[in-house]
Amino acid sequence: MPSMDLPGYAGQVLYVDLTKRHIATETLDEGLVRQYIGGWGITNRLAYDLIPPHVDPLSPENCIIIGTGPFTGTIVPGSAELLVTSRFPLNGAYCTACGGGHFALMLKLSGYDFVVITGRSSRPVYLKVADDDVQLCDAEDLWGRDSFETVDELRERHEPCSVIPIGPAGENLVSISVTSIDKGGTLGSGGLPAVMGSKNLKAIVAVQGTKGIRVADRVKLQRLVDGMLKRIMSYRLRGTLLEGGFFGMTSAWTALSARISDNWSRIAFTAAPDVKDIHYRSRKPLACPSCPCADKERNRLAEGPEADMVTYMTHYAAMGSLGGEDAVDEYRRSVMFLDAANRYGVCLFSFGIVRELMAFLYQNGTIGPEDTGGIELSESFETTMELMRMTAYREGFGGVLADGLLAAARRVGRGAERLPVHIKGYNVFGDARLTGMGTQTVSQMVNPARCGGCAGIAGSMGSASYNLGRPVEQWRREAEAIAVPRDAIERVFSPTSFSAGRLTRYAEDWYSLSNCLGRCHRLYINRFFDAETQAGLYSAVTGVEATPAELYEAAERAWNLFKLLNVRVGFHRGDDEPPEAWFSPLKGDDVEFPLMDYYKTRVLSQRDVEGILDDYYDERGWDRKTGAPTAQRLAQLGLPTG
Amino acid sequence: MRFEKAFNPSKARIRVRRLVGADTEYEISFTGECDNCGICARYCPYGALVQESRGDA
Repeated sequence: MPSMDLPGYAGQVLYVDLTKRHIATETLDEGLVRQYIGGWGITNRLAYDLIPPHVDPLSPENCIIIGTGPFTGTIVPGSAELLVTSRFPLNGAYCTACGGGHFALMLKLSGYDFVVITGRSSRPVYLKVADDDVQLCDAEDLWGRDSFETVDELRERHEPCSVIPIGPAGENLVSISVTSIDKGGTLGSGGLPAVMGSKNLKAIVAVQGTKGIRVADRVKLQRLVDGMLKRIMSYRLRGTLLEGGFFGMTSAWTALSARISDNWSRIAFTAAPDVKDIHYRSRKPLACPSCPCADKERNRLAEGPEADMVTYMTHYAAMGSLGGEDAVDEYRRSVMFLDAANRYGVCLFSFGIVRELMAFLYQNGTIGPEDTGGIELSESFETTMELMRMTAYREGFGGVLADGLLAAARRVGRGAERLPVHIKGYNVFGDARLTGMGTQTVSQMVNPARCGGCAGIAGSMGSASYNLGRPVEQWRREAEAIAVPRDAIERVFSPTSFSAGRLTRYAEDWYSLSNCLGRCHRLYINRFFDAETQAGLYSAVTGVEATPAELYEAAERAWNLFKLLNVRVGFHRGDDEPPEAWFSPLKGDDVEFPLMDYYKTRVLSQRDVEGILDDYYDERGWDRKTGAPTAQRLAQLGLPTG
Repeated sequence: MRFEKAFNPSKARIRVRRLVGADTEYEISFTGECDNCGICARYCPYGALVQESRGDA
C-alpha cells in the first residue's frame, strides 16, 4: 500500500484486531493531517470515529489508539512524545496518556504514525511491530511477570526495540493501574494497563524499523535546532537537572514536606530528611531520544540494607511520609515503594489517595478489621507495601482499593461515599488552598478527562509555571511568546493580576499543540519553545508553511474534540466543580489556609469559583450553562455538531 | 541524515547498541563509510561524542 508522501510523517496507520487476529494497514489520510497535525489530534479523531461512545472500557470494542507526531524521530529537542487514547476504566473518560522513551521513534521507523488495537485475544499475546513484519506473539510465558521483567525478556528477544508492558495490576484489571515505556517513564494512569489486560495484551513491542524519517528542509531544521540547543546548553538549571533529574528540579517541594491529613482537612509541616546527597550518588541519568535534559534515570541504591538494588522512574512523591529513621532509611523506603509500584503497575498517586481515605475511615471507626480482612490500617511502611501488593492482585481488601477512590468509598458505604476529595474521580495534584487558584488548578478542574497523569494538568504554559506567586509581567511575556492573540491578552491581564479561567484556555491550547506535534511538554523543555520557532520547525519538518495562528487553530480543534468525546458520554459543567473540601480552610496548629486567588489577595467563595469557570467557558466560546462546546463553535472548527 | 536524506539509525554511519543485560550501557561504533563529518558529535548534548582530527584517533 502506498504511503502518504508528506515529510515528517511515516504515512501509514496500522490496524490490529486481536479477536480475529487480523492485521491491516491504511494510508494516513492527508486530510486528517491538515486538520489535526498529528499526535493526539488524530488519536482523538480516530477515537471519535472508531470507538462506540458508551463502550465498556474493558470490553473488546474499546480501542487502544497509539500516535506519534511530525516532530517524532527528528532532531527537534524533546520530540519523543507518545500519545495513547482510549476510554479509561477509572472514571469512564476518554483520555490520552502521554509518555517519553523510544517507542514513538521506533514505531515511526517501522513506517507507522498510528496504531489502532481493538478486540480481545483468546490467550495472552504481545504485539510485535518490525517494519512490515507485524505479529501477535504468544505471551503465556510472560503472563504473571512484573513490568520490568517483561521488558528485560522482550529486549532479549527483539533488541533494538522499545516496550510497553503491563504488570500484575494490568493483568488483574486494576483501575488504578499505570504502565511504562522502557522502564523510563509512566504511561496511562487511570487504567490503560487494565484496558490492555482486558484484551489479553501483555505488551507492545516496537522493533527499530529501517524506513527512515524524512524532513522537508534539513538545513532550516538544523539552523533552528542549533539555536535552541545553544540556549538549552547554557540553561542555568541544566546541571541540576542532569545531576538530580526530576527530583533535582522538585526537591524544594519534597523538602517542605507538608502532610495533609484527616481527609484533606488538616496540615502539618515537618522537616523532611535531606536525601539529596544519597540520591545524587545513586542516580544515573537516562534521556529520551533527542532530549538534551535527561531527567529520567536508573537508580542503584548506594548504601543501606538493600545496597545495589536497581530501579527506575524514581521521583519521590512519597518522600518524607514513609517513616524512615534517617535520610538513608527514608530514601531506601522511597525507592522500594516506587520500585514495587512500577513493577506491579500500580499508580502511586491513585493508590496513595485511596489508601489514605481508608486509613482515615479506619481511624474514625467507620471501618474496622472485619472490613479489611484483619489488617490494621496504619501508616506503617510494611502495611503500605502489603496493601499495594494486595491491590495489584485484587487480593482481599486490595480488591476494594483496586478500583480507586470513588468505587472504594461506595463499597464501604456508611457515609464514606460523601468524603472523597477528587476531580472527575481522579486524584488532585496540589491542594489549591496552598497553591492559590492559578492555571494549574483551573486546568485540573476543567480538564475533560483527568486520567492519564500529566495529561490532566495542562496548566503548564511556559517556564516554571508550577511556581507560586510569579509576577504578572512574567505571565504576560510568556503569553506573548506563545502567541496568545492581542485582544485575548487584553482580556486576560490587568496591571496587577490575570484571569486564571481565561488564561487556562491558552495554556491548554499550547499544551494541545505540543501533543499534536509529538514533543515533550515538561517545563524545562517547553520553556525553549515559542510560537514562531515552533511554526518554523513545523514547516522545516513537513514542508507545510503554517503561521502560529493556524497551528493554534488545529490545536484548539484537537482540544474541542477531546472535550466532545467526553461530553458525548455525559460529562458536564458539574464535573468541572472543585472538591467541596476546598471551601473549608485547611487547618494547621496555628495557621489556616482558605481557598484564595493565585496572588493570595482574597478568599474565594463558591460563587467566585463559578465566575472563574464562566470566564473559562467564555474564552473557549463554549456554553456557560452546560460547559460544553456550542454547535456554532464546533462548526467554526469543522468538528461534528450532531 | 546526510547520506540517506532521512533520520534512519539502521542505515546511519554511527551505530549505537545497548549492551545485553546492562540496560543503561551502550556501545558506540562507526561503519567504514563514516567520513568524519562531525554532525553526530555536534548533536550529542552529553559530550559522549567528541570530534577529533584523523591524526588524533
